[in-house]
Amino acid sequence: MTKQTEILSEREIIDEIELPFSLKFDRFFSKPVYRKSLDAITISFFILVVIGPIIFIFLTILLNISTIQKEVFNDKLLGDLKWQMMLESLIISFTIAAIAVAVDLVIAFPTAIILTRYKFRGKEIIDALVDLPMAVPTGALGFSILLFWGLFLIEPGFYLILLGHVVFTFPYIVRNMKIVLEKADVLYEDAARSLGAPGVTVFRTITLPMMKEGIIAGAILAFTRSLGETGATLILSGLVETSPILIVGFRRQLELPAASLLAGILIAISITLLFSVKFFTRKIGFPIKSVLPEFERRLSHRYLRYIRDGLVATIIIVMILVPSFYVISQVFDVTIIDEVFFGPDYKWAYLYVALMNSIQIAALAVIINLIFGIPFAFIIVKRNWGKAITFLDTILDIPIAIPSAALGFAVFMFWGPAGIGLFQPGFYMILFVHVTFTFPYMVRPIIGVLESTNVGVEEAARTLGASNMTVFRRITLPSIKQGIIAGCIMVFTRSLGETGATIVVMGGIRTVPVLIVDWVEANAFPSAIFASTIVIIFSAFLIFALRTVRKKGGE
Amino acid sequence: MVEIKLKNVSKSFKDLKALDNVSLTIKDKEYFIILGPTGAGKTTLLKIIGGLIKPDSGEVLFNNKNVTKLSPGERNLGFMFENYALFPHMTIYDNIAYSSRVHARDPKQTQKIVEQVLMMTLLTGRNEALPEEMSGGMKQRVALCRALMNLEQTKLLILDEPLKALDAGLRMSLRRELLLMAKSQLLELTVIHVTNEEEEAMMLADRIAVMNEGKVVQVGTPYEIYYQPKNLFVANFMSEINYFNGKCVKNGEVLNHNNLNSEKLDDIFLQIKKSSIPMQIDIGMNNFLTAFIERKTYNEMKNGDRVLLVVRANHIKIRLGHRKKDKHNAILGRISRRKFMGVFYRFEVLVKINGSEKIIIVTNPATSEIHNSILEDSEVTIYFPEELGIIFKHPGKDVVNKVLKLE
Repeated sequence: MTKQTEILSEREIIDEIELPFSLKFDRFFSKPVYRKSLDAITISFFILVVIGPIIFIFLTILLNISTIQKEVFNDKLLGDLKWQMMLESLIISFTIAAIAVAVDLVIAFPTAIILTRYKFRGKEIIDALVDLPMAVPTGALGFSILLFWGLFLIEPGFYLILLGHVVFTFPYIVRNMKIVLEKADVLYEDAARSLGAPGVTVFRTITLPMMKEGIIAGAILAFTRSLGETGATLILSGLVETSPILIVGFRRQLELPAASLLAGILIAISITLLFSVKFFTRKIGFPIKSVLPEFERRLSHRYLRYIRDGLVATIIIVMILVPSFYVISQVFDVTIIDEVFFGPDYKWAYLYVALMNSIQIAALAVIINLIFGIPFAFIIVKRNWGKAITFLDTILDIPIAIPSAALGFAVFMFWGPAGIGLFQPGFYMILFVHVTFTFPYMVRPIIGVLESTNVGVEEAARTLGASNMTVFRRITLPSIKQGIIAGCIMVFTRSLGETGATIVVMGGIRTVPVLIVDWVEANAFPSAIFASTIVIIFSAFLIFALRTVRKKGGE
Repeated sequence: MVEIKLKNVSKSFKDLKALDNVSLTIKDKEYFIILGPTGAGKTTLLKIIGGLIKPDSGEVLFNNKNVTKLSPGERNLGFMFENYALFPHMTIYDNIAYSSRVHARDPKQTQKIVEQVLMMTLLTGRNEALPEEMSGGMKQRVALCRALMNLEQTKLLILDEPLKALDAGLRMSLRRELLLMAKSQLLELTVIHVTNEEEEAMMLADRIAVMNEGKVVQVGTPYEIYYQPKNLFVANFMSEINYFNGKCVKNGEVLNHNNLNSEKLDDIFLQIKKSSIPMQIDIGMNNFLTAFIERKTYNEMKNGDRVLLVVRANHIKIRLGHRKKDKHNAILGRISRRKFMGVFYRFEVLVKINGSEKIIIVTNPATSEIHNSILEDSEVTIYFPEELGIIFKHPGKDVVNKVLKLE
């Protein structure tokens, strides 16, 4: 036997070794064909489910321009009354969003600094409490705020909406500021201090410019959330109509052309805002050259800082934390048990069904987004498609930026009887809407961890003979686990709390936030208190879970 | 004119004791190096001097004036940070001019000075560049200029690992620049410089403070630190060493070799002659090693005390073959590994002392003689001058293993 044949036979032996099923599976699916088809499916899903409805709403407006003209601008009875209503609602929505964001910014600066730069006992708890309103369904939050400010005889209307919006947009701003503050090295602040700059100057010339992107991102997110908020606003608005409420109203009265137009306007504005932020953030500058040494030195005085910290702490407690959770203190009322469990209309049964609906929809949304979110994150991070990736990356955020009621309406038009006609309003359409607007919440955290994972490890596995699929399953997946879990919890909480879009597409189905709004509107306060408390406690658990995951990821 | 004193400074971060009762005096116009491994508390010490961190206890004095409670801005010293901490959103010009602007100095004057500084540092024309566009060496110069711009009466410059991020060639030339600047008559600087490289410390320092685990272990000139290290840690930090466990034998008494073997404690005996400071070390088979010892330590030692003899690898000489007359500080061995390192050869020599084998590291300048004659498996004699052996009280096996990272 020659030497060559010996070697060959050895190779055959290696090939003949029975591979375990999992490795065979990996080898089979490592073929480029499967990767390419998965990419194609993912992109199609993204376009169809996430982007499709948005494009379709603009198409609807263009195609039905004459109907819109007739119904909105030149109605035989009402003239252009509907248009006037829209304009007024837009002005109200924008005013509220602008004021809420401005107020939030003022409180959020010191809050973010205290929560990142100071060390004190109980910081973790305060931090979690500030985050919590983000996870609680705004319906429950709005109801709590209604009850709390009701104590001070503030009636539903413009100012109560404003108070509500300040509360639930606050965490978005603080959160974004905190992220950039934690990233901004204390070293730069130390350097400025060693060069003789007093506290206020350091903040203005060093910290603030480095926080820029976080501030703007947070402000825009808060602005768009305020613009699109429905659940709490329905409870707090009284006779005032913001744009999302008007959409809900049009939808209830089946005035689809008017609803389309308003939804289209809101979506267009939100997208413009989003893009201009992505575009102009870099160009905005802060005056760093001029310094007013004496003035700023005096402003930096210790006592002024104490006063500021005390003031901010008071405002946060009185204006944000206490109103948010005031409802829990009402849960011990005896009438609650009477009404919920022994009332004539089986409220507990409704609540149970709604809760099951909410959980099922949230869980299914998580699963669907998981299936398409992971490949999508991979496409964004790993594929070299040049400009196409930048484009996908930018439009990924659209569902977060646009008002959910408008998005819900767009989905209703696209998939419902007026469009493709695949679904009637109901469970599956709610699910579709939830999948659409939670998609970015799943993808973003995964992109985050994927970008920070060590490529070297994957390459090492590949040199050791692992197929692409094995590398993914055994190396990449475990290392992005934290991001995936964070994404799942985010999707779950957002889906659980969503109101605006759900109302538009729900048909006869109720989720918990909608049920709370229904009950408040029907003056069934004890039942609403009971439902709100359950939802808030549930959300608190989720937030706690999310923070634990984040912390583990950070270590 | 500035003299810095630290009195019993301590600082803890949660459970970690970063500084443990540190006292130091840094003289005026001195180039003072703080040398130690990562995590020794060096940067914490600098930040306390700079006022960026308040100590838990203890005092910081500038010219005998207590500045412990002063903010960094009120201390007016130049602080250059690790990785430079150039403000990423400001141009080079704005970075350098920052201190002047914060102090509201005359803008025209500032502009003049900054432009001069840029010219001196060969950065003219780059004033509108952002830090991210600069090379490592340029960033280092900008950071230095920015720090210097903050000096007023207190001419103190603090450098936190200023050459860490640079490649070897650039580091050499910048060391020379640093030294030139620090010693220039014009600036009259006092410099505190932190590093973990002994070579850098040796080249720049007037005096060195060696730190470990939050404590200052030894302060002295480079010569003192190198030839009279206070303990095993300092000795080992400066260059590669060999060590022998031993027992102190005073008054010419020689312990019984068999006795020693049965204890399985030591490789060698130390024999200290009655009235002289050089100490003789008996390693059996009629071979003797001798080393010096301070009179004070000598007086403290009792007969039979455990001691540690340390010899630097580069202080041991190597010679081919065995010769009967090699008695003083000579051990027979066989080369088990030979490595050419460019400037020098590094040998691992297998020796037998009291029946057990031991590896001795020897580094010798690479000469053609060594190159041709001393090969692997050669039978050799290694020996060292008696004044170059260093004797410590034995700190215990655990400490030796920990310091030399044997486990």
